[in-house]
This record gives sequence, structure tokens and C-alpha cells, in this order.
Amino acid sequence: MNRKEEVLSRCIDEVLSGRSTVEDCLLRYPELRNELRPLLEIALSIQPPKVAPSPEFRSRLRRRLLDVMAPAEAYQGRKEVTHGWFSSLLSVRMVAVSLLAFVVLSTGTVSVFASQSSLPGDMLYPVKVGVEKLQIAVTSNPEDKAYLHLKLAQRRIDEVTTQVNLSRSPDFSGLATLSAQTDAALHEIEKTSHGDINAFLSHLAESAINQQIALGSIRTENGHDNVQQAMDTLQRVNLIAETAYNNAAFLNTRPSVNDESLEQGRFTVDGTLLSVAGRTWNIGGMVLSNVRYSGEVPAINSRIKIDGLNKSNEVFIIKLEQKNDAQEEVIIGGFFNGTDKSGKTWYVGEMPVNAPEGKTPPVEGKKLEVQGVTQNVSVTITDVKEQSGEERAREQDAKMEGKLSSVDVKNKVITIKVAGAQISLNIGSSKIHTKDGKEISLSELPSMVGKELKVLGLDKKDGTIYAKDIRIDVD
Amino acid sequence: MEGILNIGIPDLVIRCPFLEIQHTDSEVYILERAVKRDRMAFASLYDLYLDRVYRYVYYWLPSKADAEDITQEVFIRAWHAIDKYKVTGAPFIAWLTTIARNLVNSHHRSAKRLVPLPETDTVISDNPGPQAEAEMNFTRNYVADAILKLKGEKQKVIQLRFINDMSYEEVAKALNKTEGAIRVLQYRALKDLRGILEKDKR
Repeated sequence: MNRKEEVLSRCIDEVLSGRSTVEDCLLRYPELRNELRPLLEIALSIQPPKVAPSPEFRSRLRRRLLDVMAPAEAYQGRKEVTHGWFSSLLSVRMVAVSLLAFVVLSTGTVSVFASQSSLPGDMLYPVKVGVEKLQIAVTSNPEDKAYLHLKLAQRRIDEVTTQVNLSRSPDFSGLATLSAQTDAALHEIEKTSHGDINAFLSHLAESAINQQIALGSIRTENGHDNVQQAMDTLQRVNLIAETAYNNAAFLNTRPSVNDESLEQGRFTVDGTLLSVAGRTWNIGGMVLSNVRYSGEVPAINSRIKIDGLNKSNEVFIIKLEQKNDAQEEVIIGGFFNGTDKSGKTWYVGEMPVNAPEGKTPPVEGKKLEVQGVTQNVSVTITDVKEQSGEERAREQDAKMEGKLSSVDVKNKVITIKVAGAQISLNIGSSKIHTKDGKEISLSELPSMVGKELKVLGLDKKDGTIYAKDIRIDVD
Repeated sequence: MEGILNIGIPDLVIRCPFLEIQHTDSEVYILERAVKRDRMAFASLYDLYLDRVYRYVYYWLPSKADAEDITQEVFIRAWHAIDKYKVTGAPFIAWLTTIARNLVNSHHRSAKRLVPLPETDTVISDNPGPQAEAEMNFTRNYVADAILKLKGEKQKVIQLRFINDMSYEEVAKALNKTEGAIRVLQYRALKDLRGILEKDKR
């Protein structure tokens, strides 16, 4: 082989794989440039069309092939036989029986192996799903089972991204099982008596973030609702993981990633800790009952800010921060959940407060920050601030919340802790704001280590996670 | 991990090496099973190659209906002839392509046309818009016509390398040649193709 043939092959490979352009490659071989350019251009014009068989054709051909492949002796009543054979793949029991047939009759388990890379719409996909059910059925240790459920949830996401990469018209129906798998995993891990629950929760939080990023990168015209629903589910996973990481008892309330009201019970209370009696805490007049907190209770009369979740009549403290300066008022943050019948009590983050005189209640679901004073052992609102919501256009973006745990100013990398998992982000091109919208620079970040932050517009390239927008919880 | 599978049949417990399954299955093994008319093995080949066969057929017949008809026929014929396939290490896709090429050729002969105008199909990524798509189709038809005028192995190399998206290694196995020989053939084929395109233009 002479040089021309070698160079042409090399340039074709580089251009087809996207590592180089026609110009860049030819620049390296000026003496061959004129001769090779037209050949290279012709080669690049012959590309397989970017089409994929439609889902309807896929299933039509699958049925036709099953019919064609039906054994001759089954010709009598062939329809029933082939359909029976195919639908038999759908039930766990029959998968077990067909596996048995393979183990016994074949020297191996070719189709079960082969089915593992199949995608929705493929002929062997029902076998894959059947084997998964079998795997669940034969796993008895709750911790192993919890991890297995998560692995299967991950598979559904991988299937969607693979279908998109293969230019197939994706079948999103598998995403619907995402929440069921995650709930099952949470249920199993709750049962474990000596498993490492926190390690599981860290793993859960980290996978949910990566899954959001993977789904967020899919841009197709169809299936928007399924993807959006899956994104919402994954965002709730973070809240559940974070809460349970700080309060293992939270898992006993059977939190579900489908529970859209979960976020409504999220609150912050910032004020002076007036008293603690058993599980009843009084912070600046705001009385919290059934408090669950795993850390050490701070000193009475110290100023604290807590971040928590109200669920099943219990208050789960996710984070407690002690502040040095004193504060007369109490500040409560959370979603506005409406009023009682009389309209005299407002609910913010599922907590009752006395309505301010003469003020019409905001729209339900608005995020509020109310300032109040203690009156007759309850809090009366003196000031209401509505927080701006995130723009709708961002809904399909991957986002996460966590605690800033380290800042590397030189490399523009920060680490965020979510349910114990350390997640590194490149923030080279991010905008950084305080919650009031004030822009801050990267060099100011190191002083904010330990603060809560929200990261929007996550994206992943070559294994590095990038963030578009950061909102840090400081005034 | 190896699990124990009890499916409820008394005194029968099977050790299952596949409960933790990795993607390590060898295609040769699947092919060997398929040649013995193992339906599940053939089904897995269908899953593996449907997209590639469809793309290949669509290149020559850019109409959804035609591409679907021919693709279906490719797999039906492949099943009927699978026991004649020799597992020699040559890629299975090359065998399927031979069936597809014969079907496409006879379709062309019977329809007495080369490449008809395309219908809309499921084009997902890089949707270029109708204008650009029409231009792409025009170029494709023009080049497709020229490829068919290439002689013998030169035509095969171009088809396998570019339309079937096969690596040098795969093409070499399919044509029983060295990779170096394939690179040489590719260069010569592209040179001939250039000549044909220039002549056609005139």
C-alpha cells in the first residue's frame, strides 16, 4: 500500500469519526491535497441515510417473523401457537420455563444473553424484561434487591438514550416504570436492618443526577411528557435521598417519588430557639411538633436556621445552621399551601401562621418568605415576600440542590454534597447569583462553603458535569 | 454472580450463571445456534441487524414502503436460508447485505427505474429541512447511480465500507482479503467513482 492510499484512509476515518475536518486533515499533507480532496468528498457523500424503521414496522415485522419461524408441526392453529409462544415470553413463569429449556436443551443460554442488549420494540425485549422480573424474584436480601431495582431503573434510561443515539424513534414507555423501581428500591432499603443505608442513599442521589443529565440531553419532538415526568420524578429523588440521609426515620413514612405534594412540605425557619421540650421545638414563636433531628440540639436562645420537610405530621430537619447574630423576628420560607376556612390561618411549607391583616393571600404554590412576630404563642405575619419561580423554559433542564462543600477557583470546579455524595461541577461558564438575584463572582465562592445552593442547567461532556446557573442561598 | 433458580418443579434446581448478565455474548455462538434453526438466536440477530439492513435498503430505495417490503423479505429469506450460512468469521451483515442487494436489484429491474423520489420517513437526528433533504437525496441518487457502475469488488468495498458502515477489518473478513488490500481497493474505487461522476456530469 502506498502513501496516498494510507493518507486517504486515515482522513476518511478522522472525518467520519468527527476527529478532524476535511480541511484540517488535508492541511497535514499539502503535497496530496489536490488529488485527495475530491476523493475524500465523494467518500463522505456516501453515507447511510439517517433513518430508522418505524415502531409500527418493527412490530409488524416481528409478528410476521414469528409466524414464519413457527415450527412446521405447529401449522395447525399456527396463530395461537406463535402468539402463545411469543406472549409466553411475557410472563415470569414462562420465562423461567423457557430458560429451563435453554439450560437443558441448549449448551448455553444464548438468547437470554443476547436479549440483554435488546431495546423496546426488539424481538427479544420481552425476554429481557422477563429475566429482570426473575432476577427480582430470586433476590432475597433487601439491600441487594434495592440496588437491583436502581440498576433496572438505570437500564430504562439507558434504553432511551441508546434508541436516540441509534436514530430510532424512541419508545419512552419504559420511563414510566422509573418511579415504581425507585419506590421499590426505597421500600427494600427501609427493610434492611444492618445494611449501609447512607451509602445506598448517596448512590441513589448521584445516579438520579446523572440520569437527569442524560434525559435532559434528549431533544426529540415526541415523548416530551414522559421525559418531563421522569425528570420531575428524578428531582424528587434528590429530596427524598437528602432527607432520609439526615433522618433515617424518614423512610418509615414511605416517601414516594410519585408524591407531587412532597415539595410542598419543604420549609425553612430562621429565628431564636426559645425552648425544646421532648420533640417540640419553639423557634421564635413558631412551634414545631414531632421534630426528628439526628444531630445535637443547639443551646436555648441561640439563633438557628433550619431546613426541613413536613410529612405525615412529623417534621424532619434536613439541615440546621447556627448563626451568631440575634434576631427578633422569625422568618419562615416555603410554598404557600393555602388558608384554612376562615382565612385567618395561612399555611407556608405546611406550617400554620396567622394571616397578616388585610392582605389577600397569594396564589397557591407560590414560594414565599414570610417574616413574623410572636403573638399569643403563635406567629403573626408582618411581611410577605414572594420569591420568583424558575422560568418555564428551564423545566426540562437537569437541576440539583445540595451543600457547597469545596471550591477550586483556579480550575473553576466546585464540589456539592447531596445525600453524602460528592458531585464535582465545572462552573467555568456559569452565572452565579444569590437567592435575591445579585450576581457574585467565582472568587467570592470560597467564603460560602457550607451554604445550600441550587444548580440549574446541568450538562455532561466527556465525563465532566457543567452547570449553567448557580443560585446560592445567601442574602 | 451465579444464582440458584427454583422454578417450582420438585427436585429440580438449576444453577443460573446468567442472573448477572454482562454483554459478553459472542456473536459467533449466536450464529452457530441460529444456523441450527434456533428461533431465539435468530430473533437476536434480527434485533441486532434490523436497523442496519433497513438503512442499507433505504439507501437504494429511499421510499418507506419499498424499504419496509424489502427489509421484511431479507429477514424471511435469511431465516429460510440460515442453515446454509457458514460461520467462518465473515460478518453476518455482509451475508444479509448480499440478500438485500439481490432483492434491491430485482426490484429495480421489475420497476425499471433506479431511485424513485423519496417519501417522508422517520428522520430523527440532524433534521435538515425539506430543501436540504431534497438536495441530499439528489446527491445520493446521483452518487448511487455511479456506485452501481463500479466493477466487481470495487463496488462491494464502497457498499460495505460506506453504506453498511463497516470497518476495514469487517470488510477484509467479508471479502477474504487483508485490511491493506481493502484500503488499496477503496482508493481505486473512489478514483473510478470520481471518473464516472465526471463523465456523467458531462
